[in-house]
Amino acid sequence: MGAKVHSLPREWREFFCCALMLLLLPCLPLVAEWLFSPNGVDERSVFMFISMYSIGIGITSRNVFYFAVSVIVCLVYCVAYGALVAKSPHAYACAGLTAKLVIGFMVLWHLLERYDRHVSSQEPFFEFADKA
Amino acid sequence: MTIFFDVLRWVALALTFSAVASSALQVFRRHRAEQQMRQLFLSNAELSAELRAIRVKVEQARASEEIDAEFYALADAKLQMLAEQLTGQYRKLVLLSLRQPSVVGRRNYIGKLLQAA
Repeated sequence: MGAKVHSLPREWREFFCCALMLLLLPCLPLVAEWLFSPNGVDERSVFMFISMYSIGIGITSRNVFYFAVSVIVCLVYCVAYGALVAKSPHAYACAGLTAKLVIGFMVLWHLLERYDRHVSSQEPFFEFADKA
Repeated sequence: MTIFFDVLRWVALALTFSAVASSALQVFRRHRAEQQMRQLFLSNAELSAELRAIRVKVEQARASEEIDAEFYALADAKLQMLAEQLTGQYRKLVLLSLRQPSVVGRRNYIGKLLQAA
């Protein structure tokens, strides 16, 4: 009775909450396609996902360089998506391992940036959930 | 056409990889900056004692928002003064956190630095 319940430190809770909301939730459409489609995930969906994921991550970043990178990656995958829809086989150069690496690098870069903001700088993720 | 998509592929890979490297460097630099800040606490016994006294008062006054805010403001001023003594990138990183737009974040960061005092 009365024992203190230990939980994750507040800054780590903010960090994991951010990772869940910004990095994992946007992957749901791909997961759903992988679950329900007999042919697995279509490359067009992957390209569309990368372009939207990239710009989504870039917009929430505080760093101009990361924002610029995200816009360029978004444009690259928009072009690849357009080419794939137009049935150009050359666009497959951006698929497969390249697409996986790009997604992996984006997740890693954003995790590091969020670690810096929420764990090191102690910035809250949900500003409205805490009082000043 | 294949060359065009090959170039796009390498551009995307190079840019995302450089973003990873840059953010890892940022995390490393902040870690070093905070280590330098702790060294300053150790080398400045008088200021360190003042910050410790502020920390004790902040902890005692948690229930009273007004007093809490007053001591946080005092700690903020002293920590900013201390951070000015850091060099280059390190100063920038600590000052950025001390002057971040989020009031809650600023207070949390001051609390974290006070813990190190």
